[in-house]
Formats: sequence, C-alpha cells, structure tokens
Amino acid sequence: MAKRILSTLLALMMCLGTTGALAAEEYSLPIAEPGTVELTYMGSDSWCPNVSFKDGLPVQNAIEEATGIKINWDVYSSDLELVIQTRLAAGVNLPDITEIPPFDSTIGVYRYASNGVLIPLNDLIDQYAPNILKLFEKYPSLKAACTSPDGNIYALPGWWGDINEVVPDYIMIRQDWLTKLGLEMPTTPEQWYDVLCAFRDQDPNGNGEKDEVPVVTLNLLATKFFMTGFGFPTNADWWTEDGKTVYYPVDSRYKDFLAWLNKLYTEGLISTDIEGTQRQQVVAQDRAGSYCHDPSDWLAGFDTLCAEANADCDFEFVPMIRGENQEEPLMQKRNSIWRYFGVTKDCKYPEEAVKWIDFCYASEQGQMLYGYGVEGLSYEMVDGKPQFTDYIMHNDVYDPFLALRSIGGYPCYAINDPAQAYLDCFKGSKVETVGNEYKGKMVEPFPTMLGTQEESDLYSEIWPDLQTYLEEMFINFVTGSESLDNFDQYVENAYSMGLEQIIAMKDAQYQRYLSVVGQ
Amino acid sequence: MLANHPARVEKRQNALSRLGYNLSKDKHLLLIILPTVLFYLLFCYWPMYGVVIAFKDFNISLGILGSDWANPLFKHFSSMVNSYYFPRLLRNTLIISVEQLLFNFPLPIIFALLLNEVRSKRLKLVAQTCSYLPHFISMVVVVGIMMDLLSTDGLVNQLVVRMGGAAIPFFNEPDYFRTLYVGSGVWQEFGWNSIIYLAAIAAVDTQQYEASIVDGAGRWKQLWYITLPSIAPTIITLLIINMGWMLNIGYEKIILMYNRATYETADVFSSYVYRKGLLDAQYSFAGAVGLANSAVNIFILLLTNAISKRTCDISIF
Amino acid sequence: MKKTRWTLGDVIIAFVMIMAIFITLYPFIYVLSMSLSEPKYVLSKQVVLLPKGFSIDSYRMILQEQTVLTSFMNSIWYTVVGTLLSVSLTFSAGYVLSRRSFFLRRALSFFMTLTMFINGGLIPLYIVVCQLGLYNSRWAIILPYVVSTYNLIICRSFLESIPESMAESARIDGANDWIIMLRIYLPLSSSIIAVLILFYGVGYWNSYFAPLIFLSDKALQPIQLYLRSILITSQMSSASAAAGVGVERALMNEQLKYSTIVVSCFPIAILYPFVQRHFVKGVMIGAVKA
Repeated sequence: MAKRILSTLLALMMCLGTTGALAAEEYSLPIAEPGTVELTYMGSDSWCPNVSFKDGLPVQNAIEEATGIKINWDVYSSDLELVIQTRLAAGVNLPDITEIPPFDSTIGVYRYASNGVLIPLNDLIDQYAPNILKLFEKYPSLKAACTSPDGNIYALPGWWGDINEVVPDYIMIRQDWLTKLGLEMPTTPEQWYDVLCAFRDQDPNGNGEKDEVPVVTLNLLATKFFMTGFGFPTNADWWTEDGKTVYYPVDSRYKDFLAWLNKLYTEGLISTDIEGTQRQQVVAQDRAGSYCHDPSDWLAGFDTLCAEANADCDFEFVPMIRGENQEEPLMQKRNSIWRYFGVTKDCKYPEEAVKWIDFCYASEQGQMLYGYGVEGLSYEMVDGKPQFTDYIMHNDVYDPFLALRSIGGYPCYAINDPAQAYLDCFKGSKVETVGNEYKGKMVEPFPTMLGTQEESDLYSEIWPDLQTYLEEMFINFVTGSESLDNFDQYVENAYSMGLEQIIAMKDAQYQRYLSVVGQ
Repeated sequence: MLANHPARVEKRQNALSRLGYNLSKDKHLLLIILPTVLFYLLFCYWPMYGVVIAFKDFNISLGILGSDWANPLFKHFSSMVNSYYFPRLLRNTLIISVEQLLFNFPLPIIFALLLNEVRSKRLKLVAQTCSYLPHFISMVVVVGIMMDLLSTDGLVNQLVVRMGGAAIPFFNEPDYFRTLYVGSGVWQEFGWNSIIYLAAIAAVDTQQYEASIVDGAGRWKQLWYITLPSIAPTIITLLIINMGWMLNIGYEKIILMYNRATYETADVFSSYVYRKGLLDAQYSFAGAVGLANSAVNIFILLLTNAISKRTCDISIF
Repeated sequence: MKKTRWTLGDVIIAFVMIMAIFITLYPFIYVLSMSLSEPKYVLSKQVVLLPKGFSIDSYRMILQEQTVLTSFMNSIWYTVVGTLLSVSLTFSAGYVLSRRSFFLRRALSFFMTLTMFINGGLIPLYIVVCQLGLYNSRWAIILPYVVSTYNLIICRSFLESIPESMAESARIDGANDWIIMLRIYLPLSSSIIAVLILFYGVGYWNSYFAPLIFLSDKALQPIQLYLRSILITSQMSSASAAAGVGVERALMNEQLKYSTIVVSCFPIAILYPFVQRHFVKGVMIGAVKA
C-alpha cells in the first residue's frame, strides 16, 4: 500500500520535474551534524494518554537520528491554549516552532504574523522544502489554506487531507436493534421518527426497563447533522449554492428542521445530555440506539465499549438522511485543517527548522515513520509492503491505533496523517470497510482560509457574541425553552449582530480560495 | 543616624526630621519586613504596568508599554458595555456574587460556633477533620462528581423517580445553575473557612467562660456575650476582604459547569472574557473588563472598610 | 469543668455534625470506591458507595510511572521549602504590621492590600519571571507567590490581639524587635502558625498554575500537573478531533483519574492526622495564652 503512495509521489515528482515548477533541491540527511542544532517545539503533547514526547519516543528518536536535529519538547497535555497564548504574547523566551492559538479559528495566524512573532516561510520553503512544495501541488487547498492575503506563508496547518478521504464522520445506528425489532434502515425524517419511537418503546436492549436513549449525541449541537432531511444539500455549516456562500442557521429550511428536532427532544428521543459528557457511559450500558456523530473509528470503538454489556452490539453508519423527493444529499468530509504551526522570530536556525518540518510533514520517509512507526518494532517489510507487528496489532494495553500513537506514530505536531497506514491498522474491521466504501464519495468541506486585517478585526469583534447567540438559540429552540414563534425575531437579531458581514467575509475568502486553487 | 545629631535636626524641615527619627526608631522593623516588601515590589508592583493594556491596542512586538494608545482611549471599555450580552453578564455576575457572599460567608462562622459547642470531643474532632477534606479535591473532580450524582440517571434522580417524579436534567436547567454553583462552593469550603474562626475562638480567654459560669450564664449567653464579641474583629476583617472580592467569580468552575443551555443564568464576566479574551487572545479587551471589575471591587472594599472603621473601629489598613 | 448532661441542644448539634460528616465524606468514599472497582463498572457508573468488583490495576499502572514518583518528590520539595519560607515571611511581616507605633504601618498595609484587588495580569508577570531568570527553576513556583496578602492580614489581625504590654516591658529591658518577635510573640502564636502552615502547605501542594506557566522541564514538575493532565485530557480525548481514540484505554482512563486523585491526596491523608493533632494542640496553647 505504501507502494501506492510511493508511486503517486514518484509520478508527481516526475511530472513536476518536467514542468520545472519546483525550485527546492532535495536536501541531504542528516539536515545538521548531530549535536549542532537544537529546536524547541511548543504545542500539544502526545494524544496517547500518559505518554509524552518529552520521554523520547521511538518514532521521535528515529526522526532525530535521521535529521540530526534535537527537538526540545515544550509540550502540554492540558491548558495548552492558556500557556501558549501567554508565552507568545509575552514575546520573550519564544520557542522555535510553535502551534498557533486560538485553535478554534484562523485569526491567530494573522495576529501573530502581523505582530512579528511569526516569520514568513515562503522563501525558505521554496529553497529548502521540496516535499512541502510537492504536497502543495497535490493539494491546492492546502496551499490556499496557508497563504495569507498578502501572499506570504506564515504558518502551515496540521493536515488531514489524506486520512479524511477514508474517515467518514456521520450518524451511527444500532443495526442489531433494527434487526431485532424488524425495522428498516431509516432514511427520511418521518422514518427516523418511527424508528426512534420504536427504540424508546419496544425495549430493544431487553432489560425490561424503558431506559433506552434513542439518539445519543456528541453534544446537542451535533444533531444538526440531521439537517439534510429538510432540503439542505449537505450537512455542512457553510457551503455554496448557485455560486453564493450559504450559512445554515438563518436559512428558511432551518425553521422546519428545528421544529422536528424540538419534537424529538420533547418526546424524549434525544439525549438530554447537552454537552455529551455521558455519551460513552450510555453506550457502554447498552442504552444507545443511535449516535450523532463521530468518525468511523468509533464504529469499532463503540462496539468494544458496549461489548461487555452486549456482545452483539453493532453500530453502522446510516445512509444520508433526506426528505421525500429530495436529491441525494452530499456527505461532508471532515475538515482537513487542524491547528496551524509556524516558526518564530527567535528561531536561530530557520533553514534547519523548515527542513525538519519538511522531513516530518511531507517527506516519504517521514510519512512512513508517522504511519507505520519504526521498522522492527512496529512493522516489518513483507513482500515490499509494511506489515504491522504483533506489538501494534495485539498490544497488551492499547488497541492498534493507540499502540502506534504510544510509540510516537500519528503525532500531533506537524500533522499529516497517512490514510493507508490507518486502514492497515484497522485491517479486517468495519472501519476499513467503511473507509474504502466512502472513499471519494464525500464532498470537500468549505475551505479554511486566512483573513485580512479587516477580516480578522471584524471577526474578533462580531463572531464570539454571534456564535454564542446562534448556538444558544439552537439549543433553546430544540429544548423548547425558546418558542419557534420567535424565529423571525431570532433571524433579525442575528443580522443585527453582524451575521451579514460574517457571511460576506466568508464569501470573500471563498473567492480568494478559488483564485488560489485556480478554478 | 540623622536623628542622633541634635544640631542638624533643628535645621531640617520638620517632616524630614520625623522621617529620620522614624527610620532610626523602627530600623529593626524595617529590616524584618524588607524581604516581604521586596516580594511585593518585584512580583506585584513591577508587573502592574500591565494594567495599561486596557487602554492600548496591544501589539506583541511593541510590548505593553510601547503599543499605541487605543483610539478612543476607552474603546475596550465601551466595546464591553456595548456588547449584546452586557446586561445579562452584569445581572448574572451580581446575583451569583451576592448569593455567594450570603451563603459562603456566614456558614463557616455558624459551623465554627456549633463545633465549639459539641459535647463529645471525639465527634468534634471527626467533624472538624472531615469538614476540611473537600477543600483538598480539585474543582474538576468536584464538578465531575456533582455531574455524576445529578445526571438524569444519577443517584439523585433515581430517588426522584422512585418518589414518583420525573427525572430532572439539573445541568440543563438555567434555574438550577446558581444553586448548584453556590451550593457546591459552600460544600467545598465551609469547613476550611471555619478554621480561622476556630483559631479565633480558641484564643478566647477561658477565664471569661469560667467567670460567666459562676455568674450563671447559659451556653447561649456565653456564645452571645463572650464568644461572638471576641471573634468579631476576625469576622469583620474577613467580611471586608470578602466584600472586596465579591465580584471576583473565577471562570474555571463556571466553564466546567455551564453549557449553552444554561448561559442565560451562568455566563458571567470572567467566563465571557475567558471565551472572548483569552481564547481569542484579545488581551486589551480582557484587561479592560478585569480593570473595571477591580475598580468596582476596590470601591466596595473602601466603602466597607470606611463603614467598619466608623462603626466598630476595625480597619484592614 | 464539671460534667453536665446532654441537653436537646446537644443532641441537635451532634446530629447536625453527623450530617456534615456524611455530606463531606461521601465524595471521598465515592472516589476511593471508583478507584478500586472493576473498570467496566466505573465506566457505566454503577458504583454508588462501595467498590463493585475489585481491581487495583489502575494503581499498578500509576505506580509504574517514573513521572509519578519524580513529580511526587517535587511536590514535597515545593511544599516543604515553600511553606517554610512563606510562613517565616508572613509571620515576620505580620508582626511588623501589627506594631501600632510603626510609622509605615498604614502605608504598607495599604500597599499590600491593594495587590489583592489589582494586578498587572499574567503576561507582565511572566515577563518578570523570565527577566529574573527564574523561568524553569524551582524558585519560579515559590517566589512569585511566596506571600499571600490574605494570610498576611489574618496573621496581622491575630498578632494585634496580643496585648502590647508584654512587648513594652521587654523593650524596657532592652530587647529589640527581633527578640520581641521571636522570644515573646512567636511562642504565643502557635495557633496562627498552625493555620498558616496548613493554608500555605495545602496551597503549595495543590498549586498547578505557576508550574504550568513557569516550568516546562518535566523533571521539575509537581504531581498536580500530572493529575491535571490526566483529568483534563480524559475529558478532552473524547472531544479530540483526531481519528482513532483508543477504546480499551478509555475504559482504564476513566478509572485512572480516580486513582490518581487518591494517590495525589495520599500524603495529605497520611500526614493529616498528625498535622491535625498539632493543629489542635496549637489551638490549645493559643487558648491558654491570654
């Protein structure tokens, strides 16, 4: 499978080589003589609980060995945003490479770049980062996402463009419950209502108690994934329709959708656990009828969670919900962007830093280390293909994917998660099946773009209050603490808080996106 | 040294000579307190230039002092007041503050007084020891346990259902938020806060009690005429400090407890600033809200202190 | 004191106390039981009072961690050194501020009290700590927070309640303030010292904010940081947008947080009865003094 990646890369390289689009030359390894260059990386610590990059994990050691660059990990597993904001704002004692907060928007890139904390990387990338350039060629939307309106690149985003091809994220349902109650897989809102009522009333878990929760949610806001049943073309927040940028919460279709959710909620069909803190418990107790929503690896995860209570537990993705006579809606792909990172002004070795990023983020060798780990420990080459060892596939403590993370694979810095290794890791499970099934069938999410100064100012002035308002009203309408009679008033308020400007801003960014990717 | 020289003292201005006299008289005291003063200068006053950030358009590369003044100067203050949510934030902050003071302040005193009256020494010791314990567990855990117990299938709702009621989603109901917030705070701190009163009670002269027993005073009278007056200075000192802190509601517990369904009663200035100021890195805005909050706090503090000074001659400075 | 019979009032008070004991104790029993139950019951929240099933796997897991041991020792260091320093500074400053004749008494009281209500914010403090060269040093946890104004005021109020007449007679005998403070006031202040030790000690033991911001060296980190990373990450990992959150581990993780709480409270639980005894003794001495 890695062969395919390899051949694609080769093909790309050849094709690019002939056009002469790339200027950067392949650098030789190690990047620096061992012991001469040290860089500090500030950001998130390993996503594997109880494992820290600070302890020197095998994959990171292998990267250090290959590049000759020692990384001092200034990483945190809690309160990262607070620490990192303080450090960057103080402007002293800066790390060399840093993740860029706030993590829920892109305005940090503008702010820290315009304040001189981040240095422009364009020339460095053009000169020293051949693999990043290749990645840009392969994914124009990646290049668009990191190009500031002034044309500079101050930061690169964690990139899930590859892996998200095979990680659908949608609503799951207990197939075994459907079978047990003799129900069809629901597709329309009406069918959903009937199925959920049956889950509630017919005791599918067979414990004699009416304790089933028909819809368990990631959080109540996540139920907006049901929106495609009401004429929405996709389950995204933002999309374009007839060349116009559309945002869901003031759409005319939205009111009917809310009324339906409200009916479900008041009839006890949707979990009252608004922030979803209890969701895993409810699943583990064999009480969840459907789950809205999480990526496909949870299909297996939830079955495992529930296995103790019910070994037959079988979560499956549902087909996209749609209204009668409606065209097939499009499933949105998960966003490919995860937290930007950049090089700071205090970095003494910007050239080496960029090469190091290039190696980890984009090189073939780096991708092997990310996805398969260290040869001999986590994989062996069999017939020219990497094959996971028992250390990964049958680890005492971790399931395979987490076992990979525990040795430093799929790290959370300079993210570029390879898809094939992910599928190999879930070989033979339904995660692999749905991964292949949905591949190429999901639509790209609305592009993430960096804002201009005006846009960033506007955004930080308007968005926090507006976002609070929209989310709060969604919850209030669904739970019924706000009557839908006030919908018009709500729309009016949203506009008076600046919704139009936000939509115009997103539209302008979308136009810029089109111009960068050249369509 | 100056003071030792009578001839020069006469020539100096009155104030200066007094200063010299004082320096000499209190030289040991000055030496004793010097390290503490140094601490305050270094870690409290040196960083205090940071308050001007509220009047600046903060730019990192220029630093806090070098950044341009906001134009208009009170831009960040007015942006707070003009916020859509300002009335709600003000209301919630005030109500939670007052409720907190109303319950958090007197309960430790009552507990300490009750504890003092417990007959059994062993019970007293056990109650005292146990009451401190909640103080030691972290907020995250307290909120977590509370959510467990109050979830729709939690212990409390199991009781409610058994008694024929319908399960209440406590954490989704705006009406319950303040009760939960203030109640859990009381639970966590009432014992701990009583320590200081217990120490004060212990310091009361036992002879007074013995004399009162001779006079035939009952326990109620002892409590009312001896214990309470003796610990009154401690109570008033702490009341003044508490008044000054009244509006300081930390964001940490709020953000652990609230959700979008309870913003209506739960969102306060600090949690709002946390969302908007810290996570979005709007330091000037956060600084403005913090400064306004401090100004109100200091005003309340000075007011309470002045009243206390006039009425019972107790002052914290 | 002569023995008297229990009145109705006594019974009511005793009942209130027993209620208070139950209410405050329950969560601890709950946490302990959670940490000792089998993971699956923990995840499905079936533990009410006593452990369901029995498993000490999570403890085994924690104690295998080198980090836990190191940070545990660090915490002890910070607590002991910090408390010593804090109590001496607070007591001595409290003594000075309680002298009614001290010419800077009001000015310094105001100077210190003000800092309770106004501060420059985190960014300048961070810059100061870096400029003093304290970043990533053990002192960064102690020095910026060494005196708490609140404790200082409490201590001062206490010392003010000691009659100055004793100091006056000593002064006439030629004693200076050092001697008066250490020989006369210190022995009379054991109850307030006990309170200060408790307040500061617990403060240092539980502090996580300063280490979070001022330390990045793992070898220096206290146990609270470890605890926090366990508590907060287990909250977040499920919300993490990353694909592939390990499930077997999630089962254990839920429990890990309870056992880590127990471990982090362990020294307090062990030391507490002793401190408590001294505390009560201190209070007793305090009671005799006047």
